[in-house]
Amino acid sequence: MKHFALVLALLFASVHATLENVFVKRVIDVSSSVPVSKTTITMKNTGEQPAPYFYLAFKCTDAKELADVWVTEKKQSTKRLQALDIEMSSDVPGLDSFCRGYKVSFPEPLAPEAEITVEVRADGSGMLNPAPSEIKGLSPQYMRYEGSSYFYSPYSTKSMRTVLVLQSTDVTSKKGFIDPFKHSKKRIEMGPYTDVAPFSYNQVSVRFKNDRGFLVARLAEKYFYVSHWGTITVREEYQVTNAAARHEGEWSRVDHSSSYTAGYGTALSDVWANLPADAHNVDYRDLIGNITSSRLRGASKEQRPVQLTFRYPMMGGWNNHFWITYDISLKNYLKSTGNEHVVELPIFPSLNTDLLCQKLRVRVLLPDGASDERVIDHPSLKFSMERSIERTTLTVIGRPTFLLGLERVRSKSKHFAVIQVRYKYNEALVWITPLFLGGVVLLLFVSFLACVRNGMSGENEAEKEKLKSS
Amino acid sequence: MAPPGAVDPIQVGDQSQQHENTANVALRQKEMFLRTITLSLICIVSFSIRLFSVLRYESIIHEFDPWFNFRSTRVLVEEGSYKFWNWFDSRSWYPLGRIVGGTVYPGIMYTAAFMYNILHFLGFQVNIRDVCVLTAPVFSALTALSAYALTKEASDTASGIVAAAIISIVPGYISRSVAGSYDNEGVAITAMIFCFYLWTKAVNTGSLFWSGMATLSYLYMVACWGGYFFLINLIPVYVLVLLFTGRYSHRLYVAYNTFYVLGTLLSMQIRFVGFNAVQTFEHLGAFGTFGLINLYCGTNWVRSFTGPRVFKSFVRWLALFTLSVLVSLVLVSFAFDSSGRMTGRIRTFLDPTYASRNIPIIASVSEHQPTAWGSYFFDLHLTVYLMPIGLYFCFKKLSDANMFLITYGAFAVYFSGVMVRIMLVLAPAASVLSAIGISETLKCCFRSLQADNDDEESSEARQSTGSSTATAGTSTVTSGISEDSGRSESVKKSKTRIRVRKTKSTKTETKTETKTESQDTTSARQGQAPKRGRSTVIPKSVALCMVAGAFSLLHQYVRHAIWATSEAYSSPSIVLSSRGSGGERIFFDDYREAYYWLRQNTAEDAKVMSWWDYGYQISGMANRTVIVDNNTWNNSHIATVGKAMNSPEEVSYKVARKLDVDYVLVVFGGLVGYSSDDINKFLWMVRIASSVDSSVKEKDYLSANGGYTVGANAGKALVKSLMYNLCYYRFGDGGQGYDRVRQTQMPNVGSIKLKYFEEAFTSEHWMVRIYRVKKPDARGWM
Repeated sequence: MKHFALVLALLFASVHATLENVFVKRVIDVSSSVPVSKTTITMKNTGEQPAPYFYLAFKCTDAKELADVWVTEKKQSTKRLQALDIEMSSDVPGLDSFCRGYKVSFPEPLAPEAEITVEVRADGSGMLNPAPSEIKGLSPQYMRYEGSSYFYSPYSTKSMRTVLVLQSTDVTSKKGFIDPFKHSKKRIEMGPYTDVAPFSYNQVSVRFKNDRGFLVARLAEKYFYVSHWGTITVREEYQVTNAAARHEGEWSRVDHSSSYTAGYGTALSDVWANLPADAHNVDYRDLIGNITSSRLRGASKEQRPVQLTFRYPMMGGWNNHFWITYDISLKNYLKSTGNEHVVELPIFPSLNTDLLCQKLRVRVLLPDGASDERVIDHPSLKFSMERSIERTTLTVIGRPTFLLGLERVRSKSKHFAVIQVRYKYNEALVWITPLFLGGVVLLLFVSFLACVRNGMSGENEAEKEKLKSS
Repeated sequence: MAPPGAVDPIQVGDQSQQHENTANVALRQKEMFLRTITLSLICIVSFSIRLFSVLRYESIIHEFDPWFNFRSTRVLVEEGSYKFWNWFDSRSWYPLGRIVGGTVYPGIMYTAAFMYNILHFLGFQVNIRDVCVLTAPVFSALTALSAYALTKEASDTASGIVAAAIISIVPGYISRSVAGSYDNEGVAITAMIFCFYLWTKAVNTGSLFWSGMATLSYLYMVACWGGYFFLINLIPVYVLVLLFTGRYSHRLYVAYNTFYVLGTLLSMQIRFVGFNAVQTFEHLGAFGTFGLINLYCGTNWVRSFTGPRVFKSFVRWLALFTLSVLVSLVLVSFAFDSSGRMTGRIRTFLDPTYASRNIPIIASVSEHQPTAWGSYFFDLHLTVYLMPIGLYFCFKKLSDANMFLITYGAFAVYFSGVMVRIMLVLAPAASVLSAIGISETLKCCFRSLQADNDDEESSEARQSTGSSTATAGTSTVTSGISEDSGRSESVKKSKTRIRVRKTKSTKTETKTETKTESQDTTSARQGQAPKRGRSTVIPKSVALCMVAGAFSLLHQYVRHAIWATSEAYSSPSIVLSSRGSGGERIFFDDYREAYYWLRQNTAEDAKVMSWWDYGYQISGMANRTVIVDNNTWNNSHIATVGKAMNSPEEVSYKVARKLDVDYVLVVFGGLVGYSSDDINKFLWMVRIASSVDSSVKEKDYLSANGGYTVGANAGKALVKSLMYNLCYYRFGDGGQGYDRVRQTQMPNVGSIKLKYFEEAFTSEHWMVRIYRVKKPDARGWM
């Protein structure tokens, strides 16, 4: 199979080998639940035509957990990173159907003999799993990382190095490593390997101790209720799982408390959320009511941290479902010119942890009566979108609503990602609800008054009659 | 009211009569306005005093039964009425299930669903939980209005307003109607008082319309609460009392016959009642009275056109006939064993010791215990003392409506002695009667204070002859006096104002008739002995003292009611709180911690076995199937669970496997000193189990000297029992083996080993412990 791939690669190489990786450096961090790789590639156009784009490839065993790929150009002089346009592509030359490919455009076509350095951040390439996947009692958790010692690329590479960053020094097994490699404490350095053929793949596996829990959101939802009375109410709802090795058998509170105070074990008992600095009215609840144990810290300039203690400690494989709601001031997020408004919403989960969201849903409810609404495209966010008209309490006209869906998002990767929603809204419309309500009350009052007047006058007549007759 | 004294009437012309008349109407309008304001204030007070629990804790459903009501309301709202009616709940009483639609009083669910739908229709996207939480407070405001109407019907407006004020904060009623206490009683008491009002109105007027309305209200009551048989027995008793005291009237005849016939037909429409309304013993009294009143009426009719001789023989034959019919009825009922239909709770009412001897499951519920003396004072406070005064005034001015209040009061006092929960029925009676008491007393005092002024004023009036100033004078006097009442509670204040106002306005009417008096703005002057006395006039100083005393008493009452509500009745009992050493609140949220763990981390169809107390909460909060719950309809099923809890592990395991149980949940307070835990309830499990399985003997679970202890002297069977083992498993490691509830150092709890059960979850303070029932693998190994 390997040879076959190599042959295939060589075949195609002759056609498309206009690009070449001069130097590749990978740093793969496997200390959390998701392996995070940061690859710096220096590329050279060895062909005669300018190259407008290049391809990225991931082997499917590696790409199964792939959350996010983000490519930036790294300029030597300014060190400024500029996001490059990236799209999923199935026609990467030489790539078989078990792989996933991306097509990345250069900022400007790469001239012959020119070099460029790009940085590729890929969350979740490679496989990182607890081994064994179930643990009993207080036994420590070990993780196994499986990946390639080579950078998987459709182009040949002159020289490459890879650094694997582990969580601990306790490594129980290493398999498949090719010389030269060096293991020192928490780092395993592979390479440099020179003149690596395209699509080279050599599986390595390393098992090491990582006695921590990993919070994974099966579903994260973030709702924004935009109101021109001055606040945006945000509701973040999480259905989370501890993705650590599954806890099996007896669970003892005694053992848990002792291990917790000693500071080991995969149990998660709380999570911090970094709310915006202007967040207020924070509420932390779940399906059966308030969760009494949360701690709101004073706001710093940037953010306002809140500690969310779970109802129960989450062992590996345990689930939880909770939400927080809070208000933020509209004026900090709104730019308006006349009746045109643009609101910028931080759509990523505010949990201050390396949270992998398998699904993220963002719902934006615009004010009652807004029109011409649209979401401005974000270069590196790919989402599905649904529109609807929602009614909340005392909605008169209807609130235009967007429901955005994102798949596999890591909250840390783009923590401050914002989307812009543009809409038309006449500020005077905020009075529609009070006016409507006032009108109804007035109507009731007047009709009541009419009834009473009639009744009273009737009584009056009767009284007069009575008096006259007496 | 008699015109005061022998002052000569002064002739006034037509012109001034007209003037007087319009002034009178204006006064009436003002009075009505004030009354409306006062009543709305009372409603607000009665609503808001019940919000302590929401403010202190949160908007949450309380206790046990409300969780079931809440769960069914959600089914009703989400699935619709038709599905709810046919709802078979497979999540409870596993493996039997429960036909909820037919075994429930659906009134409260429909009420909440109705409010929910109305609010949603109006555009308020409220949460169904919040609607349920606030149902009881809303209805308590309606209760206050109903009490006002009832008292007004029986006595007068002044007492009515006092009654509304007293009932709005009476602790005995608050205990069952705080926000979150989403239980049948909260709505049913309103229905009951309103029904009583309509009933007295029907008796007073003899109108078909009012009796029809009373019947509808009765239907609502039946739909809401099993306690409706208090009503269906009280009204016949009242009818009998009227018959025997010779107060029979055609009004009564119309009212009762309409009520009984229509009421029975309507109550049969509630599926849970159905034919019980004619078959069971509880409804027999109403039927008997129905026969009797018709007999009585028929006899009267015959008498109206026959001579005394014929009538005498007619009566003889009639008596013979009735007797034979009765005897044959009794024989038939014995043949069909319908006396066995007398439910345990009813027998307990007639014989308070019945339950403790025969039905442990009823005796085990704390709210079915006989009432302690202290709780009368705690729940009723002032009204305990004022009730006899009210009774006195009722007897003094005996009327049909007053008779009803007397009967109601007497009935409620008796039954409240039998069961604590009937205190709830007594509370309105006590409030209404004491309102009459206090109102009449104060009226009497004010009258004597006033009489003096009147005398003076009338002499002044004769000099000035300014009758047109009368009304203006009255209103200022009113405000003056109400300011005198000083800094008592604002409600009280406005209430007083109305009361004074009422006295005044009746007085003004008197004046309009006689046109002799006028009033001045002079306030009460000391030391002037009344010159012309009325029969009820008392010395002014005494009257003043009494007024002051009454106000301080009322003040005390308000303080007590607020204190009792905030301290005793506002705890949801799911979340517990205590004061930490630094004075901060510490919450014990163990129940929800464990229930939520169950909800999130067990299989959807997992079956949880626990003592029945927690059944409703588990199905409500954990959303898991339970074996038994608070609807204790199947005694033997509960006894089986009891047996599983009090047997050794191997035996329990067999029972648990038979019931297909996945988890066992026990409540244990030994670590933090939470006293209502399963170890303290354990003897009831033994008793209930032994009522079905004779091999279970209570004395095996007691120590050698017959006491119930968990320490070194604990009974052998107790130490072996599953409950004991589950509760104290690894307790030596966690709590140093010291049980804080029973103040006992536990011996050898470290040696407890479980073979068939394993600890699955224990909450933070160990209050809830959940154990997994181990399943054998394919080869049958554990």
